[in-house]
Amino acid sequence: MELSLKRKYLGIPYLIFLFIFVLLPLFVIFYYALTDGTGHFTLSNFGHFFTNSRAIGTLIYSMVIALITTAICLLLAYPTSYVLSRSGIKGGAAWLIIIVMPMWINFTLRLTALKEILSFIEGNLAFHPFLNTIIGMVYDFLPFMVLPIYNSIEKMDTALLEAAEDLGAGKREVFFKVMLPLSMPGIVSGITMVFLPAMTNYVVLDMLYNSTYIMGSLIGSYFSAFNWNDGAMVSAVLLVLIGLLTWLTGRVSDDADREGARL
Amino acid sequence: MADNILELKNVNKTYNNSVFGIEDFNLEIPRGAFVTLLGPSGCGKTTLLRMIGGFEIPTSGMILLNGSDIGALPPNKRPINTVFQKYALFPNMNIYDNIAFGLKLKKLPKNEIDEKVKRVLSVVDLEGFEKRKIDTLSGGQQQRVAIARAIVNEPEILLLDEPLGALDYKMRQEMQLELKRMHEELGITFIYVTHDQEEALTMSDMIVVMDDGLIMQCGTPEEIYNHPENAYVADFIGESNIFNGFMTGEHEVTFCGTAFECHADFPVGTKIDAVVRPEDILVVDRGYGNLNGQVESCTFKGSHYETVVTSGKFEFILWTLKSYQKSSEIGLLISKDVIHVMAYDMDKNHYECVINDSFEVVFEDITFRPDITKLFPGTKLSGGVLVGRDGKKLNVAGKKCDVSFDSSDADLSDNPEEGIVSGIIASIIYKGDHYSYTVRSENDWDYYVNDDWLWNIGDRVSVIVPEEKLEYKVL
Repeated sequence: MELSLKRKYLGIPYLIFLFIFVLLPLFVIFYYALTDGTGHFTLSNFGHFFTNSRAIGTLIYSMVIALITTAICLLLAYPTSYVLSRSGIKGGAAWLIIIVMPMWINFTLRLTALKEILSFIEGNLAFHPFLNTIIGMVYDFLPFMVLPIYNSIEKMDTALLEAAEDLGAGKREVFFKVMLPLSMPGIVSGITMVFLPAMTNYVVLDMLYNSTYIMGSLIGSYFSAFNWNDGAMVSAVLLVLIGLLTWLTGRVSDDADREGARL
Repeated sequence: MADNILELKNVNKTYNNSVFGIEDFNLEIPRGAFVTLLGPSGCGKTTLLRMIGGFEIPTSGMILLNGSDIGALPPNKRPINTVFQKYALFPNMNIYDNIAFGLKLKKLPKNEIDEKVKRVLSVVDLEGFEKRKIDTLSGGQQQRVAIARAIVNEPEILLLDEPLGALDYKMRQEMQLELKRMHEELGITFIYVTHDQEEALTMSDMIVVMDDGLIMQCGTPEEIYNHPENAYVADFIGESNIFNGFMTGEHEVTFCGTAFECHADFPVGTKIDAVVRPEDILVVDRGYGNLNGQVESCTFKGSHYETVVTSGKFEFILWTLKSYQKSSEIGLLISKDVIHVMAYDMDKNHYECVINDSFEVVFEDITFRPDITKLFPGTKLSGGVLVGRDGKKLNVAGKKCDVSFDSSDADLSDNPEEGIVSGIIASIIYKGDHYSYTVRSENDWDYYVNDDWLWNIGDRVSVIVPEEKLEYKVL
């Protein structure tokens, strides 16, 4: 009992941190989002956001980029993971490290390098801003898709695939009826790890698109005009949206995990 | 000609071109039989089953199903289904979908699938379980689903890979009888793989005892138990007393320093292994049996007492109904009918070697350095050249030479540098007053050694043979 009390004290520094840097700012955001300039409660900021076509457009645009990024990552990652974990190629684990290695290098440094390469190939980055953004995003997030999928395929019991074949399934049927459903937990957690950060990632857009057409800079532009209330509302909407998405994917992956646990 | 559903002809399976998986394997499996492949782990029984199932392709040889070679067909093209060791049920499907998996692939109409699933569930005693999830079932129930999933496709052969290994003892015994019942009911050929001799004896029509990729004996459970063909089978199946001995007359064999009547009629002087099962030795009053002995220990085993008796330097294990006082003097009666005599095959080690340029005799594992002039009488070495009687140079490199030594002249050591070769102990057979070991080297060659000391299977040892006990013969 005494020990557990003492252990609890160890959590106090973090508790203070949590309060000052997480809870307090959250409170401030929601306070500003739900008040007008004089401190009275109002929902009009909420209305401003959804009647501002630029704000809505930016939101949808972010989602589209995140969706395309996720889809391309998935299409690239699945075959890669399959080959690395199942084909028995020499040094599969070493190849995996090579794929994951970019994660060890500073994020902006990597993007700067990519920017140089792309502008060398294309002449000027401004020619293909959208393509560049997608390339940058995929480059950034691919390892987060490969790792969970690789793990789920790797730990799959080979006997299950053999059983399917034994029962008369050809290679295609083995894949679609057994392998794909059983690697769902990996796919779902890969999507979670790519889609959500891709939604709010503005560094890639900032460096490769040279545009302010993103949520981050939208908020920034409100704040620099001292419009705290509308800026806070955009943040709050984004926060709630991401919270919702996290909860949704969490539920799906829980289901998938429950299936995966029986592997 | 017998009606064989499956024939294996000269099947070989090698891995990475080194150690043999399966070596020149020939087997005929009668239609409708319950055949068990029995052996310790690593004996190649699972590899063999996987080749029949199509998960491994033989390196060479033929697998004939109803007379046509299926060796290269993928599993989904063979009318054979498998019950996997850990069941391998699809966790993302319920029981109905698991069982219907194969039927749906065949695109059978829904009502026919429903009916078949229902029928097969009743065969395995799981009526009404269709909608249940896999993880709500016990091990035994999952086992039944795995069997149902395989037999619903009406295969010609059902392969079972140690399917009862994960179940507890009571459940296992129940499932053994259950499987036997299903086999009779379905009339399908069963090929069953196990390392459990009790399972094999209980269920099979035919047992194939395997070791190191080879068939040691193939026969009915009674044949295997009562008439083992070699000490390996005798030792692996059931408890046994095995002694070295030799034939001393027509229908007379001598072991443990005593002559016994027997049914075998090998030529007089043949070295043999004699096997006597512990339940077949009778205890009589001192002087009234073939041998006299002293009780060393007596342990209650439920249905019998396990009594250890020493007679001179030999040790016997007996299963008796009565308990005996330690140190009591008794007689042992071993009748003609219970002595099983086998030709002794682990007496001498023979290796075919090649002589090299520097007059060494080389075998895959070992280099012997005999006195080369003794191998070729009348020759002498002068200045590194072998010279014959006539003074001319003799070229012996590349000539073949047989090197041999008696198992009893060799010894074991745990210092790998000490002997002529080192390896792992692959089998142990107790021979009453010593142990007979098979030492397997890295190149997969076997060395037979008789040693008084007890080692364990898997121990790394080296085989010591005194120089003077090695015999060389130029071929």
